Amino acid sequence: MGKVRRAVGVLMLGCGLGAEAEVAEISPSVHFNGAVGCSTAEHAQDLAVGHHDPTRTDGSVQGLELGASLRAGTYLQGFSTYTLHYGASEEWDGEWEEAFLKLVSLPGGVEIRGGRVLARFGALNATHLHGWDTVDMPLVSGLLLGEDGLILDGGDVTWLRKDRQLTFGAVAGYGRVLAHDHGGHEDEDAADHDDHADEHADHAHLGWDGDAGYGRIFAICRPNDFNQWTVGSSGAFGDNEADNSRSVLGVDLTYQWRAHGLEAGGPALRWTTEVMSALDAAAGLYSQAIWTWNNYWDTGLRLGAMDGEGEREPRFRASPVATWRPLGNPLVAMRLQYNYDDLGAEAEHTVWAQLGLSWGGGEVR
Amino acid sequence: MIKRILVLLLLAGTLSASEVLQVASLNPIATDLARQIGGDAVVVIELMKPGQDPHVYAPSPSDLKAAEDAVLILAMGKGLETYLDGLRETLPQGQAIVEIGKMIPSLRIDAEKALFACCPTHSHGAADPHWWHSVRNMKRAAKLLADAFAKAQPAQADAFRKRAKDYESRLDSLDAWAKQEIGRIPLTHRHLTTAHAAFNYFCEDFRFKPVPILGLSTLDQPRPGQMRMVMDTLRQENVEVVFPENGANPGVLETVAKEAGIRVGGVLLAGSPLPEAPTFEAMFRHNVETLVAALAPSGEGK
Repeated sequence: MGKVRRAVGVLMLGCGLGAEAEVAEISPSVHFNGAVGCSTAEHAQDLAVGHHDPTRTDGSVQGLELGASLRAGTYLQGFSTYTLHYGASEEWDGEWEEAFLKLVSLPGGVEIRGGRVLARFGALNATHLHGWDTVDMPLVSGLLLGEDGLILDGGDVTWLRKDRQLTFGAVAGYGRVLAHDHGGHEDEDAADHDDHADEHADHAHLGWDGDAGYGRIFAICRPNDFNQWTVGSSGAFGDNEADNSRSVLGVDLTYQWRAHGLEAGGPALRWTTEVMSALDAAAGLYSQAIWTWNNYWDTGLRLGAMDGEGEREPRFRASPVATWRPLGNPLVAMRLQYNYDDLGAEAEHTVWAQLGLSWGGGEVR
Repeated sequence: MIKRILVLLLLAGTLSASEVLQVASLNPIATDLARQIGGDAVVVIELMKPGQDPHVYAPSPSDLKAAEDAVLILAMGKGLETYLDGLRETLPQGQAIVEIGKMIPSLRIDAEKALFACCPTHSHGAADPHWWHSVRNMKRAAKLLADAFAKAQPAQADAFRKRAKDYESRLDSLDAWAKQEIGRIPLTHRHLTTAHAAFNYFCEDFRFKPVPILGLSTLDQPRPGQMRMVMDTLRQENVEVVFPENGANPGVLETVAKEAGIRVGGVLLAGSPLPEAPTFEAMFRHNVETLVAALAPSGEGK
């Protein structure tokens, strides 16, 4: 820990914030999510759209997230997380999902992040696996933003005008898009997995390649402690793997209701709807409503739909989900989710049982 | 003819009596608000008097007896009156509690944003109950109370709402005056150092940095080791003046001021107006004048 403090001190001296080195605090966090299930699909991974979606009915480690948050004085914060994954490739896979420093409390309500960042695009892109309310990623997020969502090696600037009733914000970012490595599939028998390879050909066609910029504007309206509305509009612009330009636009709306206002506990509702479209190409949306009964139980429903593109048929997914926290806190969570996937020519049914373990928290975001 | 006149007078008297709404108030600011909105149509039974500490006050059996004819019991809400749940269970049918501050958006004590001199994690996430130190909030409260009175006394609904609008206009003028006065204090001088965290809403509205030494409640007491943190923070923030509050023990603040070599400013009114001027407007003016006198550069204030 002493070495870490010294390293942080050197870094902050380099940032001209030597005086702040006195009050640096590092908070570790560990999150685990894994799932088993059963599916009518021959290969569960064919239905997955996200890198963290479960891909093996006999057990996937969707993510073992090893993270740490830095808070150093008034202006400097940071966060990093390395995520391990085990799925259909039957190999352990790992990557730095985020690693950034940020300057906060700057004049004018500005915040600057630099490093590897989950883009603040839409309602859910900036949320790590352990913060999801469902087992898997919405169809449209995986198919339009990428299997990991939109992750950039670069930076972004956020401006916030905060008020206790109305907050306005704008974000702009730029960087090299993190492209997910499909190497794990090379060993598969091509004859048995032709459909699977075709699925990935579609992903490659839609995938980002190289640098991209993104932006978001949003407003949060909180008329009282019990109700909150967030509305946002996002855009991401770059190139795809065929060197053609690629743009994705989105609008999102989230409504939250809490029976006890700012006090912890009590029933609550969180309903999010997001629509995205790749310009002159596919569009999709999802809408999910999660009802919190108490500290132990959440239940919800997500509906998602995605246009067809190329050889990919339009898709529809309905996912009722229930989450049980046996200890009444996020330390342990067990989730059961049913996916009805309408793939056009056929429908598939999958049930996932997920175990989540969380330690630490209060992560810098 | 005389009989007809007598019957009419009797009817008029009966109607007048039934048009008067009786409410009881658990806080002097609620009392003032009720009088401003209610006018002659509302009789306010004042249970907590100006000058008492809302953090320690609780209605006695004789207070509740005095309020037995009240239709509404007015509370500030947001957890300020910690006895409300228990009180609710004892209320007779036909009597209801109105938590005036319930539907006003709260400030949450955020350990990362608020400058706390000590123990931020103990207060992180709590709703700040001192919502009345914001003119904007008081305007909202006027509307909410007018609606509550209108629901209880529909015949007077228009009158309540008109009085609420008139009161809001006066609050607009008060706010404009306050902005002008506080404008004389440079941003670099806008530290509001008090014993407890009663002024966060005021600080947000007028761009002050709150420096509460003890926490949210006058019941919070300093723990060993905190004084060192307090001193460090005061020096880092270049605090020049500390402000005692009415109803709170000034001892800790005076010790802090002496140790840190900083001035003690005038007394701020945190939980209650003064008995001799028991209105929100008088309380707010007093606080603004006290701050300007202490923090505006010489020649600008007193």
